[in-house]
Amino acid sequence: MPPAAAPEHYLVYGLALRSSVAIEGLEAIPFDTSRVIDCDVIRGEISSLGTRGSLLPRDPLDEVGEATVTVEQSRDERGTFVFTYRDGMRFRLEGNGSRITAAWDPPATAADMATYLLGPVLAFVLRLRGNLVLHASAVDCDGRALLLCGTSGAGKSTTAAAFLNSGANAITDDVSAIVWRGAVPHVEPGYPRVRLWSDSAAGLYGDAETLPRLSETWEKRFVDARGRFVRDAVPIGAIAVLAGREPGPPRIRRLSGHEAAMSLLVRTSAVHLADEATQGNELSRIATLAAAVPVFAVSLGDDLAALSTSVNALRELLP
Amino acid sequence: VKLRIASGVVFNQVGEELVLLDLNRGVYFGLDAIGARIWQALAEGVEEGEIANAIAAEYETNSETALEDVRRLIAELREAGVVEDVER
Repeated sequence: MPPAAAPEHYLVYGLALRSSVAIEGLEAIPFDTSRVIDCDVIRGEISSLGTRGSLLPRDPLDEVGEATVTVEQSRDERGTFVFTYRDGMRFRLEGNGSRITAAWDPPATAADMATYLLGPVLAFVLRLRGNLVLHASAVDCDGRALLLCGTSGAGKSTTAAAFLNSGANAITDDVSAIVWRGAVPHVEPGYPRVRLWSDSAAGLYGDAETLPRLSETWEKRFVDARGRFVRDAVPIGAIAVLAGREPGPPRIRRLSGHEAAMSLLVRTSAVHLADEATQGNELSRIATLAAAVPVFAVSLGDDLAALSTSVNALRELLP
Repeated sequence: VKLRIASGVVFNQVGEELVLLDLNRGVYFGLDAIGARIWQALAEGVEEGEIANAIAAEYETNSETALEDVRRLIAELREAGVVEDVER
């Protein structure tokens, strides 16, 4: 057994993490006795709940790589869930995610674990804690956040990376935790990486090899945005819901109230958690968000080279 | 016919418009401004003729057209299972 190392501390999506394993992609912060730890992360053994658990319906937004996941909810221990990914990666959440155990075996790596943890697992934890979470990347332009929503392949991360190239700051990649400060919705910072598939990386940077790989087992790369990363929640200026790519210039349409709310509801997978009170709360928060912030349907051009035109058009959406 | 919002249906105003969620089936619906006015009236137990008169007055259309619109929306809502007839 290697000697136990001191745990690392991190802040991500507004959550304070204490982890016995280094989490790739996050920057460790100094230990602060005044900060309440939201999640303890450890590595350990995990077995399926079996007959002591019931399967949750499949999350329609499950889209991390090719992996699909099953989520079991404990029948006897309230707030306990087990995530099992097809590649064997497992997470056990206890106390609604206040304690997270991760289990993996080679060829999976700690970098793979971090990808799941920082994506669907912590998004799930945030929702268990009552936060509104959108499946969106976010960039900061002069103190205003633009949220980029959309399904996999819609161009969220590619557009976010193009924004970074034009001088914007990174806020979060794929998981947008929404908090209200007074009546103003803000998005919490995630971590200073924007993850790209190799074709997008090649399109934006000429050669995918210029970007580091996310993990040895994945054909995905990332932009290191450590120098251009916000440290505090940013007020949301506008939300762009990215639809498919079509030839020609980007097309942008402001959505009416109910259109906006419905398009954002699809991005929360609000029905994934069975609890009706949670679903009712999410509807109410989405309605509040859609009324507070302009929401646009955006069709990007199909040409990566023309992305800077799209970036300029999207930047105009911010107040 | 008196209607009520089906159990398990929650709704929220978004500006002048409205979104509703059927928790039983996990289905969302959106209503435009006029649809939202009709829904709110239904939720308060107002009858369709009365709703049509109010819509006609507000949007300066005739009562017959308004009643047709109200009935069409009610038929759609009933088919979607988000409103139901009150037993009498």
